[in-house]
Amino acid sequence: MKQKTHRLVPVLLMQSVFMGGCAFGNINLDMPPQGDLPDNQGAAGQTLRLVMPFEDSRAIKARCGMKKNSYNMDTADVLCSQPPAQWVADRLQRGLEERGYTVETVRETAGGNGTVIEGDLIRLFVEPVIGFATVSIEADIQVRLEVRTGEGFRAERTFYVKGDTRSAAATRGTFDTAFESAADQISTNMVMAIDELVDRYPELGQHGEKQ
Amino acid sequence: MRIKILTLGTLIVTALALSGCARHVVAEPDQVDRLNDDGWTIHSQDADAPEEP
Repeated sequence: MKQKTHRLVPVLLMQSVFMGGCAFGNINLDMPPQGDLPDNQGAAGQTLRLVMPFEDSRAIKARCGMKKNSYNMDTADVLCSQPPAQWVADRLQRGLEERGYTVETVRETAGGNGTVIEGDLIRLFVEPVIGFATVSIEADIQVRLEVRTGEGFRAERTFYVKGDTRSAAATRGTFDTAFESAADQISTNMVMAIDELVDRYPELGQHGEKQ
Repeated sequence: MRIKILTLGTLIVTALALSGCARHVVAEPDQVDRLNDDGWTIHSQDADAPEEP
């Protein structure tokens, strides 16, 4: 009988780790700034006006993710460490500057000369997807960008990325790793797409004068 | 007695698993391509801008 009890102890300990305290405490998501991007010679001298911050159209604004226990139950919140619509706009600004663009930030969305970029954060969420033996932390970010000029040009594009990391248990580090992967993908995709648009329509970025 | 405890435990675990499942907020991996635009949608353009390919 005593032997059986001893065998049960590690099982109960494992169970308490997976179902217990670690799944019930809220965590703050690490939201890193934009890293380095390769310089683009063609961007030199081009001026873009970025409306800050982006719109925030997320369906869930109170949190940036959720934690779950091994029964796939929502047990705690993953909180953003800074306003996400501002953070994603900051990353785009830094990414464009890294590529060589001159970026003017503006608050107003109406009228004016120059090439204006507006963004809308549609989704930003991190959650564990519970598998049979492993947990996959998935981080989704969706942003819609609109580029327009005072001369009537208007282009839009929606970006959706997923960062994920797989491990035996969901720890704070795995949430951060998955989110960083998604953050890097979304900013790189947005910057490269703007590069592509400016290459295709060379008049974009040529009217940088302020209102 | 032991069987009763096991049955009760199984019922509790099943009830927890069924009732508490959180709805997925993130997209299924195979939906990502569909949600991600392939290119820019041009709604209007200057008269002298290049035509769409």
